This record gives sequence, C-alpha cells and structure tokens, in this order.
Amino acid sequence: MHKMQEKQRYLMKKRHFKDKYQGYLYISPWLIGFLILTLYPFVVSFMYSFTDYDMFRMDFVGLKNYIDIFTTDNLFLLSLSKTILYTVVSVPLKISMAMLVAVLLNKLARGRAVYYIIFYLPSVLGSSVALAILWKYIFKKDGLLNLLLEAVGITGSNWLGDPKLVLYVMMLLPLWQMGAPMVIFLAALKNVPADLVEAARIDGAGKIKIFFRITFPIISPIVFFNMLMQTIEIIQIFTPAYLITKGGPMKETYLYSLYLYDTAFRDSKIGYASALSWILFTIIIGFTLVFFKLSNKWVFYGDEQ
Amino acid sequence: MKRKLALIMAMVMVLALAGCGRSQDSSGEVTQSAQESNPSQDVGSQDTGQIQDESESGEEVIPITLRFSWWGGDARHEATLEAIRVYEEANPGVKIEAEYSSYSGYYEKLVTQLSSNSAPDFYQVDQGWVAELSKTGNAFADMSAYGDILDFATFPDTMMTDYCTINGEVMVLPFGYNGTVFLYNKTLLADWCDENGNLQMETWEDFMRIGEELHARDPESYMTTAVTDGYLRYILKPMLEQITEKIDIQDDFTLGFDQEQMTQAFDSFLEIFNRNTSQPYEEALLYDSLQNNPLWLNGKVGGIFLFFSNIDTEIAGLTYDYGVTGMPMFEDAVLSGQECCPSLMVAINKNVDEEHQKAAARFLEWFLNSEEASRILGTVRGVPASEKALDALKQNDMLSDLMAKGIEISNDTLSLKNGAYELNSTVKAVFVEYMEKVIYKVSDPDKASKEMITNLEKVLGELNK
Repeated sequence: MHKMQEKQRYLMKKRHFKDKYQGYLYISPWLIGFLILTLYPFVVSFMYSFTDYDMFRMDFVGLKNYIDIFTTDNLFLLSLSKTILYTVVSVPLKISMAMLVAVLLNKLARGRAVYYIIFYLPSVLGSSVALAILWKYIFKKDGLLNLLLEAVGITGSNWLGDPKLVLYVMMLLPLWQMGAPMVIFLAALKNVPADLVEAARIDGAGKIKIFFRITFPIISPIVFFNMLMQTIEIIQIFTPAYLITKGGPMKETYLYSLYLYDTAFRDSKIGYASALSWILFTIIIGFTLVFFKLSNKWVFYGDEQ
Repeated sequence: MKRKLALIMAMVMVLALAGCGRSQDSSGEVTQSAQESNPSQDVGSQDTGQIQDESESGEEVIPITLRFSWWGGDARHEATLEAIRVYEEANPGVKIEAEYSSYSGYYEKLVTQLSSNSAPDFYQVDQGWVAELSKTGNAFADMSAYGDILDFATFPDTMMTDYCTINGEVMVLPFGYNGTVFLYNKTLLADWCDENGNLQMETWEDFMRIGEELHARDPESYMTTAVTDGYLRYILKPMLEQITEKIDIQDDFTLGFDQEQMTQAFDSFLEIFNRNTSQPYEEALLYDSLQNNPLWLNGKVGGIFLFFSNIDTEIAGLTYDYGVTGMPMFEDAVLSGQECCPSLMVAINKNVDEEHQKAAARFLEWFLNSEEASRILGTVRGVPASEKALDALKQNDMLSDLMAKGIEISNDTLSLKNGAYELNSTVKAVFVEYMEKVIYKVSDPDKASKEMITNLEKVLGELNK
C-alpha cells in the first residue's frame, strides 16, 4: 500500500517534470542555435568592444574605441549618414509599394496565387550573388535598362558607376523584395470587415477616403510591425553593397555594415568593429523605442475607448 | 502518439541543423575541405603518428591528410589539382584536400582561419601580407627546420633574403616571380607598330598620344582599361615610383614620397582619362576582372597592364593577335616602377603538428622543385622561382612565346624590391580612396595628395605598433 503510494507520487513527479521541461526539448535545436550563434557573439562582442583585439592579441583599452569612433573617425559619420539616408528613403518606399500591391491583389477574385508567387519570388532570392549579377547586368552602362531606354530614344546614364546616382539606384533593391511585407499586408487586409467598407461605399465615400479612413486604421498595427521590422532589417543591409558596388564608387554606397566588415576583416580591428556594431545596436534600439512611443498617435488597436 | 511524432520531428530538426551547418559559399569559391573544424581540435588530422619511410617500400603506410589553399583562375586551379592528383598517386597514404577560390575575400578568410586556429596545413599568400602575418607570430612555421627536406638552394639568394626570410627564419617560399608588362592587341594597334609587330611606345607621352589617336579614330576603342586595383598597381604607383625612384611605403613605416611628387603623379595619372586613353573609370570599375569586360573581349582595348603570369589567362579564348612590351616611362625616369618580385608565396601553418608540417614540406619540395611538377604547373604562378623548375620548363618548351618575352622584358628593366607594407590592405584602401577622389574630380591632385599623406601616416602609425 505504502509502495503503491510512493510509486504514484514518483510517477506524478516524473509527469510534472516532463510537462515542465518537455517544451525545452522540442525547441532545443533553435535554443542551442540561439545560445551559440546569437547570444554568445552578442555578449562576447560587447566585451571585445572594450579591447583592441586584432585577431591575435587582446588588450583592454576601456572606452578608447568608442571615443575614437565619435571624435576622429570620418568614415563612421559618412557611412552612418549614408545608411540612415538609405533607410529613410527605401523603407517607406518598400512599405508603400507592398501596401499598394496588397490592396490591388486583395480586390482580385481569382488567380491570386500566381501573383503571390510572382511578387514573392524576389524575396526568395534573398541578397545573393545571383542578385548582384542580375542587378549589375540590368544597371550597368550597356545593361538591360539602358538598352530598353534606348529603344524608346532615351540615353540612359551610368546607373552604377555615377557617384551621384548609385545610392538611389541601390535604394530600389529593397523595393524589389517587397514580397514579404506584402504578404503580411494581404493577410491583414482580410481582417478588414467587408460590411464596414460596404457601408462606407454606400454612403458615397471614394476609394481613397475608404482606404485612409477605414482600411488603414484597421491594419495600422501591421503597418507599424512591418515598418519596424523593415527598418531594422534595412539599416543593417550588407550583401548588396558588398557584392554589387563594394561600397563604391567613391564610397557613395559605403553602408555602415560594409564599413564594419572592412574594419573587422580587412583591417583586422575586431575590437573597434565590435564597438561599431554596438553603436548600431544602440541606434536601432533607440529608434525602436521612439517608434513605439510615436505609435500611440497613429496605431489603432481597436481596443481603445 | 502525437508526442512521439513531435519527438521524432525534433530529432530530425537537430540532425538537419547539424547537417546544414555549412552556409552557402560566396562567389567563386569551391571548397572540398571537410566541415570547418572545431578551433580546439587539430586540423584535418587522421594520422596516428608515424611518417611513411620512403626508402622502405614494404613499410606500413600511415595515412595523413593535408589541407592546401590557394587562389587563382581556372588555369591555375586545373593545373594545381592535376599536380595534387599525380602526387597522391605516387604517395599513397597522403591525401591533400584542396581549398581554392578567387582572390576576392581570400585574405579576410585566411586571417579569420588563422585567428581561430583552423587554417590549412599550408597555404598560398600574397607577398604583401607576409610582413603583417609574420608579426602575429601565429601564422608561419619556420621552414628552415626542414632544411633536410626542402632544397632552398634552388631559389635565388636575394629572393630568399629580400622576401622570404625574416629574423633568420624562413617564413615563406616563393612559388614564382612575376613582373608587370603591357600586353597589347596587335590587330587593333597595327598602325602604331613597326613591321615586326612591335609597338612603338616608350614613354607615357607615346602611350597617351596613341590613346588619343586610337580613340579619335574609333570612339568605342580605348588604349587601355583596368580594374580598380589595376589602375592603382599598374599605372598610378609605377608613375609615382618613376618620379621618386623610391618605393612608396618604406620598411620603416615612412612614406617614400612627398606632397609635390604625389601631386605630379596624380596629374599624369589624370591625363589618361582626360585624353581618352583609358576607358572611363565609371564604366571600368563595374567589372571585377578584365575577362568580364566586354570592351576587352571585343578587341576594343589597345592593351592591358598585367603580371606576365596572367597573360595566358587573359587571352584565353580570344582570337586576336597579341604582343608584349615593357612599361611606359617618363622621359627622365630611370626605374620602370613595375612590380617585379615573387608575388605568390607559400607558407606552412605554424599551428599544425610536426608530422603535418613535415608532410607539407615534402609535398612542397616536390611541387616547387621537381621537373614533373614543373611540367604540370607550367607558368600558372608566374615564372618558377626554383631554378630546377625553370630549367624543366625551358627544356620542355613550355614557356609560351608571349610569356618568354614578358619574362625577358621584365628582367631587363630596372625595378625596386617591393616594400613589406606597400600592398597592405589598409594602406591600399587609402590609396584607392584618394585615387578615386582625384578621378571623379572631387578633390584636386594637390589637396588629395595632402590628405592622403595625412591619412597614410595615421594608418602607418597604427601598423607600427
């Protein structure tokens, strides 16, 4: 009798243990990856930023890296300002485009799947070498775009070689990959109650008015989410700058992450580069907090008075 | 049942994560090496200690695996892989894993590998990196310890002392040596060649004049073009050296030129664009190699500057007639300013165990000094520095005419030994930055020189620590 009670208690404990910790087993692949590949570098890079680690020797230097960055580093300001300009232009552009396409696709009764695929495909390609080659092929002086322009009688410029144009051409790249936010918008648009839109239309509201007064407020949390995620992603963009223009010509497309890469791996200044990356992190966090605060003004969650 | 299924899926995910550990390789790189090893483990090692004794054929062979990395074009990859195959056949038990790629990104990868103790057993290095890497004390094994395996006497003494030995230790060995020459399209430049097809060009003025005339005749053609690195290394730097008669970065971390000389060099350099001698920089810079540049491929470029070891690669597949000549010089210049030195070196990794180092040394002895290897490799790494290898090439008639001419020209012109820090990546980046500022007319030569000097002194100050 006693033994049976003990056994029951033991089994219950085992069951509790199982229930409590089983979840961790199932997410262990991700968890291990996160700990090793994300959290560990995160913490270690913070430590490195206070040293002059150059891949071979490491000495503690306190705040020297940070001070140097803010006082004597021209490239820091240059790359940061370029990156901010890049982000400020291409994120709204990308979101607007995604929204526009989502709204249009939402109206489509049938055949949507085909368009989903077409618009989402560029995002699948990601920032790859194939993309770089494609972009160069289209935008170089004797490339596809200029060929098409010439067919209608316009002489195209040197899109990727002209320092004045190149950054703006590169801003089109995230635009091309708007499939991801678009799909999210589409899902959000489904949640707009059709009867509300119908009622407004009956009352005589035009399409634009309907969009801005009804649709947009209802999907505004999604807009907020997309804007935030896209900003975080684009401010760190690296591969296109590295592969297509290598930061050139004349550092016109020398984005912050490219500067960071050069400092870390070409100049072997890991400590300094770690400081650079933490400054970027701080900027992103700062932006996120501000953005969250501002969101109270325009994001409508539907549960306010 | 559900729980079991979930458990199985979790296992599958873990396996998938482990299996997909290696991320997609970047452009041009093909790696056949095993998954990057754990930093704390010895690299690629399967051996259990004993070395195969070659004199006793009945002896049991202990297998050993070596990793060898290099960069280059297709010709070099094919030849090297063939050489490796031949060596493996003749030496059962030795397996060499080839890790080859293009030049782009090689240095960054090597430095990362060295710092995480996962670098290959032996690897190719650019002459410009030797000083920096040997300073770390962590990269190069002292090969003089293997003097019984490697025959150093086949390399020219001056080459060994000038480029390979640092503080009495043999850090690297030269694969070959190279020199800068001007490879020109005889067909396009027929009007400026004599009856034997030799280009009548001695000075920079000749060079520009021909360029102007060529472009005036056919607005699509230009006398020359280059990649960004090429404009710096083969045109701007030689011009500077011809003016100063010194190398630009001295070994004591001072500059070999002053503002006035640099301004003069910039002025002459700008002429090639102002006088339509070169393809406009904004167009040329989009191509990371001349083999991608349609102008060169279509025979619209008069000629290109290059290392003579790359001659065969650059004309591969093209059907025009080519000739080789030396660097143009200023009227009063004495030095050619060309790079003539061993550009490609090989080093043995200091951090692998002695057995691997010995095996690597044995392979290198065959690779660098044997007639057999020389016949397979030819001139893919320049002219072999080893006398034995060079003799083998000559005997077997393996030097192409253009290559032989290139070697002759290069040897005949006077040039300076490369400085240890001239081709340091950070230093080069500063040069490129101001070169571009001058080309795009953002800065005038005088201002650019002044700022560049300030910047360079700062960079050199940091390197000097």
